Amino acid sequence: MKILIYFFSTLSLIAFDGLTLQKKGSMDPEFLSLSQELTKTKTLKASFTQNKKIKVLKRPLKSSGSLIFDRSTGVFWQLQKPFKSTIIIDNKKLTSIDDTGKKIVIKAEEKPMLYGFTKIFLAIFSGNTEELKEHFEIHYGKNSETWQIGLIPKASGLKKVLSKILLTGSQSTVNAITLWEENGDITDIKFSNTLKADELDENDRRKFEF
Amino acid sequence: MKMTGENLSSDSKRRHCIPFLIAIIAIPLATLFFSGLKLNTNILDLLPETGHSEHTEKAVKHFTEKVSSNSLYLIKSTNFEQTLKAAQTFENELIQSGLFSEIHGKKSDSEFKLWYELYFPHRYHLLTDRNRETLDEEGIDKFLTSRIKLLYSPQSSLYSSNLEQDPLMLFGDFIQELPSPGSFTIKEGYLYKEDEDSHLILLSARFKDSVFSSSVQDKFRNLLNKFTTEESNTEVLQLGFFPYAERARAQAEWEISFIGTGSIIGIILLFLLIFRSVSQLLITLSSIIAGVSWALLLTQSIFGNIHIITIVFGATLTGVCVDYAFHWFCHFRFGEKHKDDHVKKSILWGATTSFIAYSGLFFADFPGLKQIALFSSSGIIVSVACVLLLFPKYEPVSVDAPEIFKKFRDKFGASGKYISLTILILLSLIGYRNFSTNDDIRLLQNRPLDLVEQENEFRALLSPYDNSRFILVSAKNDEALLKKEQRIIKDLKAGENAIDDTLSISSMLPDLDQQKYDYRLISETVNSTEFANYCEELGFDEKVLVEAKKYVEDYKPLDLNNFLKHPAANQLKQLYIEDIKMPSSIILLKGINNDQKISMAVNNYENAQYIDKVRDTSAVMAEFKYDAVKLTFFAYLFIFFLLNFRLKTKKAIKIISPPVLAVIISCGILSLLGVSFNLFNILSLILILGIGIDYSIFYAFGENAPSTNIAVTLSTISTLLAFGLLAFSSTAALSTFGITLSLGIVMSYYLAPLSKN
Repeated sequence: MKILIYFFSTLSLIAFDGLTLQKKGSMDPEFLSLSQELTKTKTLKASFTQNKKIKVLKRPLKSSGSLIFDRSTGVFWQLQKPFKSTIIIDNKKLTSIDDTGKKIVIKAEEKPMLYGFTKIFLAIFSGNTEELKEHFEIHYGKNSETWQIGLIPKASGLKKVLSKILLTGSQSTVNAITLWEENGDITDIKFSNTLKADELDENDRRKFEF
Repeated sequence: MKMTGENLSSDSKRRHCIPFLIAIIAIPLATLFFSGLKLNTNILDLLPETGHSEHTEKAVKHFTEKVSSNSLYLIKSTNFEQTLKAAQTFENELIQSGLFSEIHGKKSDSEFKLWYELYFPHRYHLLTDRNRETLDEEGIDKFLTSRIKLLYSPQSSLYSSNLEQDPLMLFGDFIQELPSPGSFTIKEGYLYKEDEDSHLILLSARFKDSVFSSSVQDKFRNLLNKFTTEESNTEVLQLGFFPYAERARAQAEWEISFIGTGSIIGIILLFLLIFRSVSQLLITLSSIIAGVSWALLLTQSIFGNIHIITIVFGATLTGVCVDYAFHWFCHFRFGEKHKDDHVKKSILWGATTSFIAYSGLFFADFPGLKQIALFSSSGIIVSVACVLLLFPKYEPVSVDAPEIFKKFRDKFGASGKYISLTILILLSLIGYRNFSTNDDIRLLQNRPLDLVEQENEFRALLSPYDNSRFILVSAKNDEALLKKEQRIIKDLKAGENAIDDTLSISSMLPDLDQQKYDYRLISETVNSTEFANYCEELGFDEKVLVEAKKYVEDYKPLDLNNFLKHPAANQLKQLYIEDIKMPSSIILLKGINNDQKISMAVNNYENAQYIDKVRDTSAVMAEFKYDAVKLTFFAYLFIFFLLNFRLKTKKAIKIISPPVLAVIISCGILSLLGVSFNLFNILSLILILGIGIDYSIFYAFGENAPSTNIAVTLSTISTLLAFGLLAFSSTAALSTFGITLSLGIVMSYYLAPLSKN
């Protein structure tokens, strides 16, 4: 019966044990205004290049592609190089489509761990500071042109995978994200051609429908 | 009417009888006191076997015993911090109580380590369906490409944690595909879910001892009460046997005292009112107590315990036992005291027929009824022995019968009698057009609305696996068992949606052939040039390729025995049943949409059964109901032949007619009132005969004395008190039993004078 419902929860390694909204009173007012700016973004399109340095591999994994973000729908994350591959994340599921069009759907309710992890990952991409605060200790720094947000996981589950994340940006745009993983892997993602709009055009919206 | 005054000779006689009475009561009470009353409150123990093979019965029982100790708790509050704090407190209290053998609250890292320990060494022969399919249908190259894509994907870190030893990320993939905890995620180490405005944390635990034990129930209730006072903003929802077991016990205890005290008080009042003698009351009560305590002792020594339902039912025994005392005293107080032959004779006849009726229940192959039969018939024997052997030593002074009884019932003249009888028969004939039956086993269960609502609220949040409907699979060995499980699951999931989900051992552990097959695929892959290129292209150290090749030289399958022995599989162990002839296992089902489809799919397999405990037991109840009708018929026939053997046929017919007519009329009227018939009220028909025939016998032997009127009236009142109170039982089965019997007794009383000479 119900016995095994909790059963597989044991995979806390991949889970996201966030501590809810422990709001920090000493938040920098500049950070607060930045965070407001970031979350104002309704839709966003950008190109990215990703450089993943996996410790046990001699060469970094380099890839590039494009990203569409729509706060009300989700994220469309498409690799163009070295191969075409797409991931779409919305509120209920994660869909991945490979170059042959083969589709794999993972429903949030079936694989909450995987989905949760991906959701955090993409919250980072979209600069959703509210959601990030749930899971990370946030550090903020700024020089004349650029700002930096450092994220350190709060809970042990996430901590086992990630050691820290750094977001770099100027004004209200995120320019780069760097992730340091516990095992020594480092992922570096740079964004370019960022376009913000209140609404997606028809063509882009359709991409979410695949 | 004169007040009682006992003379010296009766005083001395009374002294003779008192030591006997004290002895006959003290022996069983002392034995019970020192051995302790072993109460059983588990409703499942009352039920008959469900007609499956012995093997199946054993397996199902084994499984049910295991799951009955499982319980789930949802801690619910309006914000996360509060829920978390409450969950931590609750978990601590569960641990400290010592009531549980297993508690699953905060997940520790070591739990993940356990899974890692279990599966990681076997990663090269544990493929997901998708990976196997890719290798089978698209080849090594495509499979390796899929691995590379995984590395590039945002979720790669979930898979690549031990890349050097698992360059194909097989472990990560396999573990992701295993059954997941539904809609719950992990937060602060707890299984957590947000639902609208409420924050929920799920904990689970397994009771060490039976949840039907009253000390376990009391201790856990204290824990819950303490917790809810401490954490007043939090709610605990629970799922498991505990709330029902606890409520059933409380209700049964209340009913026992309600029926027991009710009928004792009634008897005391009747006695004081009619006989106005405390000493007679005391020796009568002694005969009842003797009957009940011997009944308890005998039942406990034969069955090992006494079911609480037996005692509820047994509380009605007082009303039956007192009849013989009533008859005795009526005769001596209000009749001709020196002609005691016929009173002894009628008491003996009355007791014999009641005994036969009660022991008839023993032949229903229903554990609960067997206990009731033994309990009641032994109680009757002891009570009646007290009356016949000890009461003659006590001689009350005769007085005039109260005026009211002298003429009472003489008005029940021939003409009026037949007119009312005709009307009653006509009414019941109309009633028979409404005749209906009900075999639902839930008649025997108490499902208080508030508990059912709580359970539904829980199920809406969690949708657990069903614990009364599941599939039992047996096979000649473990390997065949796992294979059969998988084939059945595949059939169930194919086509239309008969079920939402299943959980089985084979979903966590592929059979050995499958492992061998997967191993062959992986070993081919690892030894291929494609894999060498893959390692080269990605930039793995050379030793990764060397080690992978070395690793696949040995095939190290994970067999069921080792799997179940591993602490990570502790929870799954419940699904495996080994201590019977063939290895068997349970497939749990969730979200059952189509019972018939499941039945059909499972029936295609030998040694596989879809068990639906409610359906199966209800079917057995229906079958027993027909047996009960036959049993009733034979009981009546037997008693008739017994009467016929000792008496003239005409007299025998006269004696048996009133209870027979009473049964016919009562069933008709009950049908008219919309009462449906189940095993239990059909069995009550036997008792209508057993008790009702006493009245006819008293009249038949009573020579129309007013003392008979008084005795029969008093007996009826006391019997009605007992069974009438049973009608208020919250267990539907007992309540319909009480109602049917009460009506039958009223009718028997009304018609009993028909047996007069």
